Amino acid sequence: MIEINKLSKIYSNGKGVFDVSFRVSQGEVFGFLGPNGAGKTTTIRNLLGFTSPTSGSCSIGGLDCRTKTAEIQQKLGYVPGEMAFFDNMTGMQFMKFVSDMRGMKDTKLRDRLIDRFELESDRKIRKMSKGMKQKVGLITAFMHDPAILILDEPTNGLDPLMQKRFIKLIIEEKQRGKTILMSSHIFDEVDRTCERAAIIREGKIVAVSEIASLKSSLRKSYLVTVAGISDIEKIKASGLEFNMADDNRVEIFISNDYKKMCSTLAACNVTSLDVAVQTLEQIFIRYYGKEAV
Amino acid sequence: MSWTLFKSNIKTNRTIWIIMTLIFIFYFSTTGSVYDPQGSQMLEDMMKMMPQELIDAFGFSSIGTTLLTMLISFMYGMLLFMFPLIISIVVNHRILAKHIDKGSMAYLLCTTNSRKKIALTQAMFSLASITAFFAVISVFGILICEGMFPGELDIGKFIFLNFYALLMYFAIGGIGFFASCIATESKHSLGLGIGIPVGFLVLQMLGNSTNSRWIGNLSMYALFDPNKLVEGDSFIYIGMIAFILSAAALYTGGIAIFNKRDLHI
Repeated sequence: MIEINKLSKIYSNGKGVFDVSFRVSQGEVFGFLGPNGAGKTTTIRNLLGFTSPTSGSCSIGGLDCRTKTAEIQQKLGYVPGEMAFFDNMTGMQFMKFVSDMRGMKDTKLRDRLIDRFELESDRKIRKMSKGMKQKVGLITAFMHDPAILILDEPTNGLDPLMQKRFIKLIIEEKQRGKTILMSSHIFDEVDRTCERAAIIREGKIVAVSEIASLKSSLRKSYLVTVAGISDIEKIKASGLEFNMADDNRVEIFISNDYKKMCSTLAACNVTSLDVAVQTLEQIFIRYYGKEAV
Repeated sequence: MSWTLFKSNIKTNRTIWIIMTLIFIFYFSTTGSVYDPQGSQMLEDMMKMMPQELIDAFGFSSIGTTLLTMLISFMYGMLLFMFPLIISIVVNHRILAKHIDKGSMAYLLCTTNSRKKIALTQAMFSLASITAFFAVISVFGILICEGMFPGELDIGKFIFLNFYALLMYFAIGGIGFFASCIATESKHSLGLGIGIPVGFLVLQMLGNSTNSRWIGNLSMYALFDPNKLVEGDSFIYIGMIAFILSAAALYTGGIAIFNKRDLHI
């Protein structure tokens, strides 16, 4: 459905994306992961026909992204990474404006989405918070019930409750057979919605793979605080991979040997146990080793 | 043409348009009221009190003897390059460059409308906004003059004068529109859109007030000579054709570039 073929877009400062290839099949939810500035938005700009590739090509539904842009837009919904609207309009005026520009009449879906995301649509966009603007952007992208969705960091600025509702919406849309490309720098978000993901770093695709296999390769880390030096010695002797975080605190890394960690810790006097936040960096450690991050 | 976008442009730009048009009409009525059908001795005396260089720079040199020539010297000299110019600069910057700079252009292009259609709509709006200005000025000008001095204004020539000025503004608007199409940032669009028309104005003022009159001929405004219109000189047709051709080139060129360029939105 979405096909990117050896796409390069090189800017005058030498940055950009290089030789990016991946495809998203019909009905698939595909994650596009990478740290800020890795080239996610640059790639997406080419998909939307905003920029012309330096070399290579991309197409959506078999139509070339740069030359058949208006046709593609018929069935595409897009959430930009940077929200910029017509500031003097209220949320509702803006959504009406976009529907009119699209020539669409049915507003039932839009109104359902407004309820769902609890948007105060009569407020001026200029006066809205970041999260509210994001909601306007999401509803505008979904309200014409497009078959394909391109979402550039869609949960940016949303509070945790709204993030949850958004993820639920994505899962529902997936069940309805939508094709979705979603960029993010948060692994967890992609983990909950996508089947496959591409990882981009410094403009180059590092991996395109199943989320499940990315996950198994992802090392989890636990911050363990123990009572004394003797416990540290036990952990050292166990063969677990770890870092000393403090005098009596260690960070233990595991990928799937939970049993070993549990049995080791069972023998220790553990005073606290925390799960460290999973970040993309941990995936990069896997692909590049530590020095690459 | 997207009528929805056109309407939204009207909403965004109506305030500046109304203010500038009202100011121009206000000046028009005060200037008109100074006219004395018996002769302009009083005005001539008043002008003598001002330094000649200043009068020349502002193009107030020949007041003439009719209501039309007086309006030309006061309204279609300096003031013509202020209020409608502000409309032209602001409108042309807002309709494309501002959307590109802010990123809201993404929403316009994500609405099943091709770039060409968006650019064409904005070009039509750019032309329509300045046409509306001169249409309103013509109507109010005639009403004001007929109200104060019935029968004194040569209405045919007055309408033709406004048409001449409008064609010049198509060319000026073309500069602003072209700048708006090619700019990546607001400052580029405004820099070119203000810099070029104002640069021409400076050349014209220098030409008027110094001995080197040739400097004034470097300005595109040299092609706008309303006194020649009164005299019936065919020079004005050369001016009109030049304005039409440059407007056509700038608007179509702008649309073509906008259609091809990279948009970092």
